Amino acid sequence: MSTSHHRPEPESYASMRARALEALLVEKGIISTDSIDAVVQAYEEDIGPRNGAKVVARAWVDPEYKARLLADGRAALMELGLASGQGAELKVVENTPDTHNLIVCTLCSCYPSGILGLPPKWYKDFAYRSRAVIEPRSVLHEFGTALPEDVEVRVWDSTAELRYMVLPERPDGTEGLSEDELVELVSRDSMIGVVKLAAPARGAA
Amino acid sequence: MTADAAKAADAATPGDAAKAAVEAARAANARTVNPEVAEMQGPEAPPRKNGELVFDSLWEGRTFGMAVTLSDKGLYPWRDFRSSLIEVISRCDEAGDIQTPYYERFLAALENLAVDRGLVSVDELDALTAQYAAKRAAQDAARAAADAEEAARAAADTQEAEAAHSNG
Repeated sequence: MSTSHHRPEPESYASMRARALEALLVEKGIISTDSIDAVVQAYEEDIGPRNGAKVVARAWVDPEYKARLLADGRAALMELGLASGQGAELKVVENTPDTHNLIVCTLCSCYPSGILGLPPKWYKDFAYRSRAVIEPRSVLHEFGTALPEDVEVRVWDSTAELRYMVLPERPDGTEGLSEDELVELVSRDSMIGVVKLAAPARGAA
Repeated sequence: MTADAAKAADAATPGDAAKAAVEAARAANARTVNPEVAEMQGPEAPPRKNGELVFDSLWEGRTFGMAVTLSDKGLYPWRDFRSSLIEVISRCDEAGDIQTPYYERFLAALENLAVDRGLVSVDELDALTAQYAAKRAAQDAARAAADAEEAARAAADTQEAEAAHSNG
């Protein structure tokens, strides 16, 4: 669908072949169109960090929700029909001008997959798992995140029972944005805490 | 109602009932993403952007959805699909093919597996694809003919107008 439209493009052979396969499987009663729709929707929405981004945007626009989120992450997720993954508790840690939070799992790769989807490959690497604790500032620097000396860096080590998510600071210049627009700004890495969110480019939002 | 159930009902406070209702609603909302699918690594892993899957056209998403749905329904374990995909990718690599996009390979892997499991035959797939292609071609031809007719009519109108002008 995002193919360039400099001239009307005929349907590709692959597209027709895929349609034929689907039609045959449906005609034979092996699968239904609806079940394919549901699967596509689940993988489009639940595999990545979009649910986490929704939680962050809600907390930015609704101070009472934010208070509940920081007090009891699991219950606040439930309000939005979400879960942190594998039945674990969730603690949401808030970035402020004085404090920057970073999450890691030093033992394996525990991660709030229910809201952030799959962990990036580097999250599971031994280098990140060990260095995030020993020298978090150097790690942050490698992600392009330079913090002033007086900002405290807190590192949170996840376990099977307790997962963490960073609530990033709302970037300047986003006062006029709607909740849906804010969701688009929140990156996965900002919720792990390796980056801060930049203000949207002027005129882009 | 059993004695145990009656006891449980007595013990439940309104708060517990509300909690249970929330849990039930959450379970109903929770869609299942198979971690085996979601955590594929290596050359067979689907393309992503900011952790999200990327489908460049509709058929790519449908094809992904078909492969996962068939596995969810127990027609094959996901590892069999994965093997089929790895096989297609290896064959492309061996042939020096770096052109065929990921989801075309994915579709070929799905087709091979579906045929292998007797879900569809290559013949019926070929026949239906050819039927779709013929229908497309006929539509394109009809559109081209309509465009040509339109152009001819426009040209005739112009000629008529010019003739009327020179006569008048």
